Amino acid sequence: MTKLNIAHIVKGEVVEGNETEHGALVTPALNLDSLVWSRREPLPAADVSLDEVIDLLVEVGTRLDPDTNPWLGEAMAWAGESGSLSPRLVEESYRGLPGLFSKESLRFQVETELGWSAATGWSDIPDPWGGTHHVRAFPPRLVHVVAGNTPGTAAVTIVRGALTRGVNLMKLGSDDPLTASAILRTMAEVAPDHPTLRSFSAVYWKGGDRSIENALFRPQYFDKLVAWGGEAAIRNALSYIGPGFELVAFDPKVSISLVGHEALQSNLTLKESAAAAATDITIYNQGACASSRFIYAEGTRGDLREWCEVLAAEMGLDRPLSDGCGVPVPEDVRDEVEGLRFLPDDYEVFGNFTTGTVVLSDEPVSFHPDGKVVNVVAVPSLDSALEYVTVATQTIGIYPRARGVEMRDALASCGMQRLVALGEVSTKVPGVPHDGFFPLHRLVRWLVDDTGTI
Amino acid sequence: MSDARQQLVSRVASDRPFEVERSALESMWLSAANDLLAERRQQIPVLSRVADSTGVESISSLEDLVPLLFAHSVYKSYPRSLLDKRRWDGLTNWLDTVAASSVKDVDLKGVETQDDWVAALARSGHPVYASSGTSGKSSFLPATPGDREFTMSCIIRAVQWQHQIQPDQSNAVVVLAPSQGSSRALEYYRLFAQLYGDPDRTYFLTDEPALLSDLTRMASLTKSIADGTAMPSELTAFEADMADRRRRIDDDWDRLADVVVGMSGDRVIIQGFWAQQWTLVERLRSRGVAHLPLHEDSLLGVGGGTKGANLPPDFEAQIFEFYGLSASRQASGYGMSELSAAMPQIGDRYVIQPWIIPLILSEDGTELINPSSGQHEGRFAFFDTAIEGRWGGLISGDRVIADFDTPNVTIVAGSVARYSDLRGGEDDRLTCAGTVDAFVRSLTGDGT
Repeated sequence: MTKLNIAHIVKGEVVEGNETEHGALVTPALNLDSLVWSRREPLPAADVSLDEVIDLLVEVGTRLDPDTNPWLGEAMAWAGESGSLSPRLVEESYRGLPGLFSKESLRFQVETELGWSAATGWSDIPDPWGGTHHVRAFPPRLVHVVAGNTPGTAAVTIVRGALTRGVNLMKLGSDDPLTASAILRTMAEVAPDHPTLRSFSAVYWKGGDRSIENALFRPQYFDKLVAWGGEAAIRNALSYIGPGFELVAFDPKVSISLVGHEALQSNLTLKESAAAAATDITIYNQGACASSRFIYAEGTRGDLREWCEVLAAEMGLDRPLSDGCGVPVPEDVRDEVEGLRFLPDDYEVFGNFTTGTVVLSDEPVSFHPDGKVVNVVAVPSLDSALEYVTVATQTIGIYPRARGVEMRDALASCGMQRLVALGEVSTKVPGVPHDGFFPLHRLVRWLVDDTGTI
Repeated sequence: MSDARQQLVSRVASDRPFEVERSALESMWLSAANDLLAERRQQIPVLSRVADSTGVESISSLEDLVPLLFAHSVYKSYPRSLLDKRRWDGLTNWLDTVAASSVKDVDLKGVETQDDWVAALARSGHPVYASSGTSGKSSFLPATPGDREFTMSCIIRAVQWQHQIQPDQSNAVVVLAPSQGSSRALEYYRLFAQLYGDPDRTYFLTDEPALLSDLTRMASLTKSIADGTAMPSELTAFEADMADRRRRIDDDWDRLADVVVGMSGDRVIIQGFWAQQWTLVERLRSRGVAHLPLHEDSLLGVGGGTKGANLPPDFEAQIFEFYGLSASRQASGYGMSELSAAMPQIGDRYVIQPWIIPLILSEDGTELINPSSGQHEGRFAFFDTAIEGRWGGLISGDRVIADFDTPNVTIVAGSVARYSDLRGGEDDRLTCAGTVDAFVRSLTGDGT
């Protein structure tokens, strides 16, 4: 196994070294004291104007081209070799990063999630009794446990951290130890010593290392712990949560699709809906929380057979965010599907493990479909799919889009967080709720100055 | 039974059947495997499918066997909803796809639980070994009555091979497990106690059976929590039941500790997995017994994984020291219900019976390693030519170190570990994708 020696970024500065080994990852030694920002000193970027921060991010974004940016190029090459996505998909995901740094996107996020005036300073709110309050989205002290299944997570964390203008300690995962540092190095190139840059550290330690986390995860140093996914990571984070130290969790989730009988109306709708479903299933080769795993489709199994055939074929096509073939199917999922083949009265299997597998049944399978395996469950009506929507349900793609309005309140009550037209799951933009909240809104500290009240 | 198979299997009659040179076996192995493939692919639907899809028509080398081996999960490949919905006919149909002779003639009248189902199959001449799994899904291994007898006749002799102890009903025997239940280990304990134990000095932990349906009940409740249909009162009722059960088990351990305290200086055989052996020692210590010296010819029948049991690293030494026994006074081995005969530990090796073809594979289970000499690490797989009731080829989940310098292949004692455990811990990957399991806080079972 080739070892990867990564640099740490500490308060914007590159720290090189190879003192510590974590399996295949070699890192500099951690200096814990350098990873906290004293509450006695002002936050570096708290008073930098938001316009300046946005301009900085926009400039960083223009330089995130893996062809010309050596750090990003290295991150992309490593991800292509070591991860579960094909080099083509990895490249696709890296080429999408600049979009996260566009001026429209950044301004829109601030506007919808915080409101421009509260984000930029103490904003006046008059009350009905004649008083006035000054409210500010105050820069927070954040420690982020960053997911590494796509580079977008590191980029989004940096964008949000910069826009909230607090300080950010990013704990990197072993699956993406390079992207965050690459973006921060780019920022250093644009504006060396900029207060926003000095507000970021990006380092690796082995997740769950109590000797490190018990020292750092304290309200005296940080206000909030931002944890992405991973049940173990979130449960682990919980042990440090207490008064003054709060958890912002992007929970690990499951996504599904709802397909109305309209899909079976004509050859055109059949093809269109199956292609849309395949698009949503295969996002990042079904490795993301937004990737659909169960499709509740109106009709009988007999009605849906042809649709399943078409779906299985569509899953085998290369798409911008998925590989047509060669996605490994986890052993346990493979075994489960193989077992179902021998129960043809209850389960029908379409496709194959190379290009994609569809299991058609009257009830959801009891395993977690993964590796481009999807379970199409025949339901008499979309209403009867409600019993399968739970607190773990993140995104629901629905076909046709017009049926969203009739379903959305009931779906929301069951636990759903986002409803979208089938096939459009990956079109998510920043600035609207994510996992049931406005991220920037949750990250800042909402403070009030009541001295203005008469 | 073909000639080659007959010759291999009949070695069971010899004194020490595992002491045969590999070179004397290999040609018989291939011939027996060939005959079995031809016969079983007509009988076992899953095998016929595997053979068709891999295109392996005959076995001319051990390599040819590899694609035909079943994953160990095949024996629990039924959909869990069959258990949740108590669809015993569906479960029977599934079992039929992995069984060598049809099990569909089972009488399912009155079957309410998995345990009833297993009992009904046994009554119809289709004994099934069930082993509980963590997901609430048990493995079910179809067998014939002959398989069952054969297996027991083999594993019951291990202490004769290892320690020259005879089945003369003269021994004090303590079994750290229930006297009832349908796993192979429990059946072995029962038979052992019956053949080796003095009826007046044989003790089991409890007569309350170990039920598969207890686990399923837990799994069903977990599922209804996940679905959002479980009500709070169901959770408290379940917790209370579990607490009751724990108290009963606690009382059982106390009762057994009372008995064992009185055995100081006696020659005793204590049967139980490491975790249970440790529990007994801890129980005795908690009563202020610092040491309980047993007669030097006493024996601990041990084994089993220790994961999750929270044992100190030197648990083994502590246990032997507690009883004042030499560490050689253990009867251990490596086995699994899927094998017709466990591999007893003789010296520092687990030895393999001649009718079992050992196959050491690459970690991913696709390549045969089996070299001509030396010690090699790999995934343990085998083709067991003695089994009548199902396909004998299986890939285990275990990492082993196999020794090819011994007369037949042996496994280095203590080298067995599960790949799933070995892989755990090193992984520091985070993804946003989750399962509903993350949203179900586990039930403690202690009523708190």
